[in-house]
Amino acid sequence: MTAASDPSTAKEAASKFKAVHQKIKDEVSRVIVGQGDVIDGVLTALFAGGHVLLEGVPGLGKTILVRTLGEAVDLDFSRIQFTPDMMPADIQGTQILVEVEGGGHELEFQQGPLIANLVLADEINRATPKTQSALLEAMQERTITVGVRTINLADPYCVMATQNPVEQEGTYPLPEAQLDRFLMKLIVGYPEEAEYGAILDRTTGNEEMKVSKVSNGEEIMAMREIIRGVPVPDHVQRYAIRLVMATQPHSAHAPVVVNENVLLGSSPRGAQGLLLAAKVKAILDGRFAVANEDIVGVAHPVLRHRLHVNFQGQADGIDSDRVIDGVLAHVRATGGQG
Amino acid sequence: MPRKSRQLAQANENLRGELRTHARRAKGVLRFQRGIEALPEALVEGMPFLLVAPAVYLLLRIILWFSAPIDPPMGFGLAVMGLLAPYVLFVLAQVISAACKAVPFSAALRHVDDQLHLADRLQTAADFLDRPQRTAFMEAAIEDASTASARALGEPLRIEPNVEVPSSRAWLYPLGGAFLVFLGILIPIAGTPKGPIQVASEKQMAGSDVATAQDEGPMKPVVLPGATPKLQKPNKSEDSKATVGASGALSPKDQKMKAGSGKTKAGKAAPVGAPSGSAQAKGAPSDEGKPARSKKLSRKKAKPRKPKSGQDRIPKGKKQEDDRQSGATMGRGSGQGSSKNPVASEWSSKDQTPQDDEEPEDDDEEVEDESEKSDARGGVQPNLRDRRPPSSRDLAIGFGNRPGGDGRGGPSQRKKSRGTASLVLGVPIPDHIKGQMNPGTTKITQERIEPKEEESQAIKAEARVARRGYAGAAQTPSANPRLNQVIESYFRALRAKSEKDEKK
Repeated sequence: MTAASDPSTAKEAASKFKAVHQKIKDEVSRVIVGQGDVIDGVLTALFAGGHVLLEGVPGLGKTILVRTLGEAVDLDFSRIQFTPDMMPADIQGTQILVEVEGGGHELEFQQGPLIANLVLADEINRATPKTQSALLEAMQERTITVGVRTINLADPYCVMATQNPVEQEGTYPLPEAQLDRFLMKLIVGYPEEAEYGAILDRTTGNEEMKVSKVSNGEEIMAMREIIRGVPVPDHVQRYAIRLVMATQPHSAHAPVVVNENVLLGSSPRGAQGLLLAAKVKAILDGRFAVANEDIVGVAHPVLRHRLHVNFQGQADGIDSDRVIDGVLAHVRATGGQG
Repeated sequence: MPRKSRQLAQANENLRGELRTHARRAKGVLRFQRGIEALPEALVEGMPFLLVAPAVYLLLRIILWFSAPIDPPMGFGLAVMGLLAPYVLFVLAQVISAACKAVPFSAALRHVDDQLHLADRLQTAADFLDRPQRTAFMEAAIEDASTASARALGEPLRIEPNVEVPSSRAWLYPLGGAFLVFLGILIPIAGTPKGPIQVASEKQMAGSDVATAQDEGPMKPVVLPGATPKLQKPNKSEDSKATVGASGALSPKDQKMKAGSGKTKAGKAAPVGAPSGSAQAKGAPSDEGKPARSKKLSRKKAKPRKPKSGQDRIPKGKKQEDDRQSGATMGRGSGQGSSKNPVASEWSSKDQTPQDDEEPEDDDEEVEDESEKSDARGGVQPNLRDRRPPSSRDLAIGFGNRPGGDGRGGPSQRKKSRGTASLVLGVPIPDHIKGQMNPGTTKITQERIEPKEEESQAIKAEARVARRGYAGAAQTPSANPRLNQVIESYFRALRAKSEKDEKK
């Protein structure tokens, strides 16, 4: 038995993780009222090393949530407001001619806003698919290639995108390849009645909420290391695999609801996402290994954007969340939880 | 350090023992639970036994019926006892086999985890304990599980069977079986194909005949002014009963009845004294007279008759009077206000019988000529027989409503026609003045042919190859000569560099 296998180190790491998570959450909660699940989801994506897509109607604080998170964590933060006339070069960067001392000109790379630690892609579905595709490489490979130049993006790197579900006019739906690159899709709902008072007090008074930096990039990376170290028992891994396979139409584990209503199921990235997000949840719940209930807890935000409901399903009013409910029930009923 | 590791090994061994205990407890609960869960399915699956055995029972009863009569209650009791036995045995076998199925170790631990809300701690510990290499997190998870396991040992496991009654039509089997048993019981009572039983039944029948006659005895003919022909029904049923009861052989009384009931059924009332007599007595039409008459009346209503001669044109009031006299009240009853005697007379009976000389009346019927009608109104009238809905005023040409949907409207229906009569009444009035055609020089003809699809060969798709030759100098009017020079030198340098790299 080595020193690394001393359970006390794991306990220390877990408590440290919880402490960091809590202090960032508290800082963000100074500005954002309520939305505890959304804040947890955003932090889960940040600690798991994934990207997050926030969907909600205007005015629910999606943008301010990400901006506050950027302020709370000492990270290089940039915001891109996506518009239909935006080009890939506008977000990746381009080479421009600059005058050099002593006469003459030379081409210099002017980096775009995509090169940062925490990128807020606001209203991402307003840009054309061409521009949206510029994010693909950055999100998956953590690199940007412009011309012959390839730029490695600094860790931690996290894209937090927002999109509006109601403004269909002038929007372009995100391509499946890009949706799959988001670890989670969080639905931002309306605040509770009790939360309205606090929102109005904070936003209509003279007091301006100042967010202090409570964490930094190194700490985030250390937390990611801890998360990666959380073990996954065999039965939980089997459960995650079966869940993902059950979302694929006409696979061995697919239930009727999937075969009839799903056009495209989750890719293996879905299983990776399930386990990574479940690891964060397990640690936050005070456990040292992932359990089936962690998988169930993150199944909706991790899988909902990876399932594409077909025309029949849309006509019947079935959305991906309902399909996931059916998948969870089916896998449990067929003894797939272990 | 070795001491600590020994302690850990001991703790792990203890945990293994606890896990085995948990599994043993859970296995017992799970087996019992599975047995209960298997029960509804076994009950449904065994239903066919409840149909097969009654069928056998019925067959036996039929065989026994032909050989010797048996006591029904005794047979039923034995049948129920004998028939339920295979079903019960089948259900028991199914339940026991489900309960005896092996429960895997992991499944047993999962049951404990689920029931005591341990978040897979026991399963996780069992998994990690079997791994040769364990990380700090795994050790922590095992330690966490040992605490949870010790706590769980004191808690009882509940039996929570997930009983689902399968929705199946198998429930029809017992119903069918019960029906078959019922049939089997009925056999000795209902049918008597053999000698002694037949004699007994004939005796029974005779007795019932006597009883019928006795029942009929006190019945007297009731003549009520408000009675309706509804009262005729019981008489009919009694007739049929009597006929069936004697199994084809009519009693003298019945024979008398049959002889009395003629076409008019006039003589029926007197001998039997049945309520049908009362119905006739008040002047209601007989069954035979009614349909013929009503049919004729309906025909008369449908077609307008041509008045042939003066004698045929009977005044309306007189005709109604005749109807009343004939007693053809047609369901109006005597309450209509008829001043005639409601009791059936010979005249009325005679009238109700179909008369041969009435038939040709229908044959002579003719529809009035339209020209005659026009004459009657005076002047020339438009031909209303060709009346049709007003022509469409929609002047828009059709799009997509033609075959092919190519947007070509083509000739549409008539757009306009003159006159109020045409617009309002829908009577076509020709849109021209009678006379000679103007001998003009221009003649316009419109081809009234549906557009047809042209036949042509589709052009094959080919791959477009990129231009290989010189495309000419790209124009850059915005860049000034100096900038052009800079760009050119930059790209020359870049190319030279890449060539140099390639050579290397």
